[in-house]
Amino acid sequence: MTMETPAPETLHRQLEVMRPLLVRFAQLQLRNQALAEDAVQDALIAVLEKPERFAGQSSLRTYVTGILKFKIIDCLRASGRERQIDTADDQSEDDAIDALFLADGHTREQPLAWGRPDHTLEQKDFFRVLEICLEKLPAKTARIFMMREWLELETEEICKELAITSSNAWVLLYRARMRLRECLDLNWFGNRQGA
Amino acid sequence: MEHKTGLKPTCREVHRLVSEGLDRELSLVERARMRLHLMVCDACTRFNGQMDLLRKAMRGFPLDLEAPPAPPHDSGDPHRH
Repeated sequence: MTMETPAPETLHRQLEVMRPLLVRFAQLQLRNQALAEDAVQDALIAVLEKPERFAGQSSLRTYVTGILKFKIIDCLRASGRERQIDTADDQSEDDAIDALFLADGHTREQPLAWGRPDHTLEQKDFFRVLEICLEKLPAKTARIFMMREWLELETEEICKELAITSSNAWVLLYRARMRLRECLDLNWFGNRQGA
Repeated sequence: MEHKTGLKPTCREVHRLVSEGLDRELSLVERARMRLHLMVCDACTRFNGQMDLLRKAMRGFPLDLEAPPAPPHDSGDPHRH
């Protein structure tokens, strides 16, 4: 059950449509516009050179992000001194999470109901808000979250590339999720209560 | 990661376990503690659903999404006056 390899012009157009978001997401991880554009450019060229690699075996999306994953890792490796995770704001981050719980470990406030997930995920505006929330994350937190949740790297790979311990990675990912949840509550779900 | 474990897990511990369960295989004991707590706690059950939605959203993020409008001068806070 193999699919036809798409016509080059069709593929080219599909990739051009994806490019802006790919660059923005690469930028969230590399924190450098030129590097992000280069990484995406390299990934797209790799796809155009070997279109038969994805036809019939995986979606274009999976194929492109799979290649971009390696380009981003290459970039992070090349800029080795950028890899150190800055722990300067660790204390305030922990305090922010502490504030969500009572001394006995119960939640201070009931989390908002987020409604039907399938309905939420059909709305483009939801993803616009999510992207703004991603951009508001602290740089290092955003990088690790994107590596884990968008590029779908395993925690062990992330630890190796960023030279951090796994417990450090779990804490950073937990903080990222708590912040994103708060941001989505405020800017998306909260506005829709009772609407 | 070693969690301080009382007899009954707190929401604080279960929030952490829900998140870490997305990044590593939880131990049998951790899974049992988490499940028992989720059976009786609406707050953590909601949190669990929110984390599930967040993961689905990231993995299905539409690649054709156009850039958010650039803010005029600041760092992008939509509520800034």
